[in-house]
Amino acid sequence: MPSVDTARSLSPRARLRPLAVTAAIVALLGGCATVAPWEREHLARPAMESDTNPPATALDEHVFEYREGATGGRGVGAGSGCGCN
Amino acid sequence: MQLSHGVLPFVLGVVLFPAWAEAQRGAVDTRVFVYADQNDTTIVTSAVSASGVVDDRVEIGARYLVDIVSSASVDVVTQATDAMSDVRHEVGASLAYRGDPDQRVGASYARSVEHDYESHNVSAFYARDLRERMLTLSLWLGHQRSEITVSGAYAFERSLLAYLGSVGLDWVLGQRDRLELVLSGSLYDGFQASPYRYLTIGGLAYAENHPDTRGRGALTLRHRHAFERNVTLRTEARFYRDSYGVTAGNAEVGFLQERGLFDVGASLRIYGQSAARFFEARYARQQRYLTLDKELTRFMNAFATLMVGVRPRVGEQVEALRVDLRASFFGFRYGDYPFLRRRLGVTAQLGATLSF
Repeated sequence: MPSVDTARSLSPRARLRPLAVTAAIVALLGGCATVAPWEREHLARPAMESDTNPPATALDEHVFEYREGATGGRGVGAGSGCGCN
Repeated sequence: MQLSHGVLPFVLGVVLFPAWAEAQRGAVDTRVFVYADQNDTTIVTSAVSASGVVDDRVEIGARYLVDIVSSASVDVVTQATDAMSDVRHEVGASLAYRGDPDQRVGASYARSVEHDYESHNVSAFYARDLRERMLTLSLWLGHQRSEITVSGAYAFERSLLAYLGSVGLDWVLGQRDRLELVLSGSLYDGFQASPYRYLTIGGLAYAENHPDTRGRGALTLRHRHAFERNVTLRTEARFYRDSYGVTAGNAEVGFLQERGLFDVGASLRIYGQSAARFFEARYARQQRYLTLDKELTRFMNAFATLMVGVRPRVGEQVEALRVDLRASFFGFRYGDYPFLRRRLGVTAQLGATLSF
């Protein structure tokens, strides 16, 4: 049985994929240049928080939770109830 | 009568405001939410929550929520069921501890009850600030146990277990940018169909039947950029896949601007998904898995949201009072669901948060 050269069987795009992912992660981490506390005026805005209004977001998310097939990704737990309608 | 029950938590929250203002540092939030669509479905939700800080290290929280649902939607009526109405009560409590300025750990519990569905939810989280607070790592684990009970001629009792988890990274990219990445996974095991939906094949009715096990995964990216004049741009993209064969994604872009005592904002969210691999618009014969769930069909939707908040000046005992109003206009377009082609509607919510 002839041996399979897996490296040669991959397309150029597939071979570049791990490299692209690694480069993206390095670029993201490289973006973590230190910002001094006195330079955080803009970062301190309430609108820069991950969730600006958690009680309101929870009610909005409940609509998505039961009217879409996809759940997860908010970083918090799913709701409850059958949402049969 | 049901409506008066639903407004009760909202009224309770308003009454509790002065009492909590006398207590130590914390917050009280109360709000009313309304959902209405052109298919005669209406949901009124009323919620009140409160949190307080003890010894600067421990934060406790509690909340109560009531959902009142009434529907005569065409897909409900077509399944030979009458227009339905239901009430759901949910209570929850949370506890968080900050051991040092860079670490937080916490747990929460919630219980939800409606006439045919009862669930218990427990969760725990851990968050740690790294690299001089340039990076925040958070871990979250949750477990849900639900019991579905139907009485009458077709009585049955089934359960559903869910195991959920997520890992989040929040980067400070610079003086004006933050990027957040959340990877979530969950496993559902148990009854996941509707006890009320039946399919007619060859003149015979068959109960809906979904696979008992469903694994789900989602990856979310969020970016916030601070512009001049207190304008913040917020964008989000999410990718989702599950073992039912549903692939989905959504993108959202919005802005918020603080203008003195007011803040205003707007956003647009677009969502699309493929159908579950066992969904068919019309089943020609009985199969192992059958579904009439429109959330397992191919569809897309869009939500356009407007929001406004105001922070009126209040007494010295109160740190801040914020009243917010938001309204969303939405449309769904179903690709191959036989009972519904489109759905238009609106959601609105009014809330007030008192911090002290």
